[in-house]
Amino acid sequence: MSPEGRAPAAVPPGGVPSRAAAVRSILGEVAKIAGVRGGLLIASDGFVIASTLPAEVAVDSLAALATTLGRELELGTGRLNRGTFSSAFFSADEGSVFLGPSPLGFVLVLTERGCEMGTVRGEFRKALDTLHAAWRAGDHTGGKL
Amino acid sequence: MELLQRAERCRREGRFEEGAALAREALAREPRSTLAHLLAGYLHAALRDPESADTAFRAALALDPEHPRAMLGLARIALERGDVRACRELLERSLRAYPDFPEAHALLEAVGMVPGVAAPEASSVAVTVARLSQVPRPDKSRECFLMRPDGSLVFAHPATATREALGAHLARVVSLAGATLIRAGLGPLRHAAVATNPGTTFLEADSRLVLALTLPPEVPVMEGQREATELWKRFVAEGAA
Repeated sequence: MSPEGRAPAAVPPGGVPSRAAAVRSILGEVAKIAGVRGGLLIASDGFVIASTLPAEVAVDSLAALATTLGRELELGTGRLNRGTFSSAFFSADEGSVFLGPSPLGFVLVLTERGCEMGTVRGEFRKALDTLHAAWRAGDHTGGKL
Repeated sequence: MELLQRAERCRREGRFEEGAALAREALAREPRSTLAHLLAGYLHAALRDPESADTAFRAALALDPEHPRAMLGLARIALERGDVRACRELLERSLRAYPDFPEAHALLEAVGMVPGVAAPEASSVAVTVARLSQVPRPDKSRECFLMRPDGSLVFAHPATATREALGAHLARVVSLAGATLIRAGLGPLRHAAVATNPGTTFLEADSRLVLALTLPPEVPVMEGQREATELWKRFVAEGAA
């Protein structure tokens, strides 16, 4: 049994315009930057809406952690009167993770070691801005996207 | 069932408000549907409404006391509220019900590293603090924290009333970020930058210490990172580790 239990398959029909479709294309553009391994668009409940990460990455586990981290950044900064969380990056020896809030949840981008961080940071912020603008352009139910 | 399928489709397409309305409609027709409560929980969580999500996940658990996804949902809400113990218990319960649950494993691993409450500053470190306070900080520094990974403060400037709460928040960020990087196969956390509108907080970390330096938003990221790295070296040279 999957932990989902009796969840319906509910495959969305093709060709239906949605907010998610609009932001998937933005995520696809970020993934084209040199040194970027891929990205995730995650809802705030941890659900993966879109992924361009390579198959060897355990996407669901990564999404669960990234969303929890994103919520801590959102809620912690708010509770402590430190303004609004706009973006973050976290670096390790083998690469970095960029994380930012979006109206749909969070966007995560994974980079390789030695990638041009300034370029990725700039493109990542642009992608977040585009997402926010795309969201504002839609109506309350996303019908215009 | 058709309503639930439509609600699930909305969830997959990011139309959370519409999905939540459909889930409500489904529940009005079938109040004892575990799946409808679960889906409502997901959608409320996606809408960043933890109170409604909590109610929905609890309703799902009342109908199916071992539902692992309902327990995961509640565990995440418990962590958002700072209740690490409740979060851990729910994750352990979900893993007893479904041992191969990757998200629960990943979160439990991360929560194992998350401190519940920041430990108070120990009086034995008073001498160290006095010495560290003499270490020159960048002119533009707004806040500077040096702490242990468990959230206990070694040094804080300025010494505000919220410094321990801030230390605990930073410790949770460092733990969750570290677990995320490791899960992505990148290794332990070394550097970070968290941008908010009043400033950017630069982090330096190793297994023993975490430095958090907050600089105004106009400071370029590269410059801020360099300042944080230099300050980290000065603190370590003064015996902070």
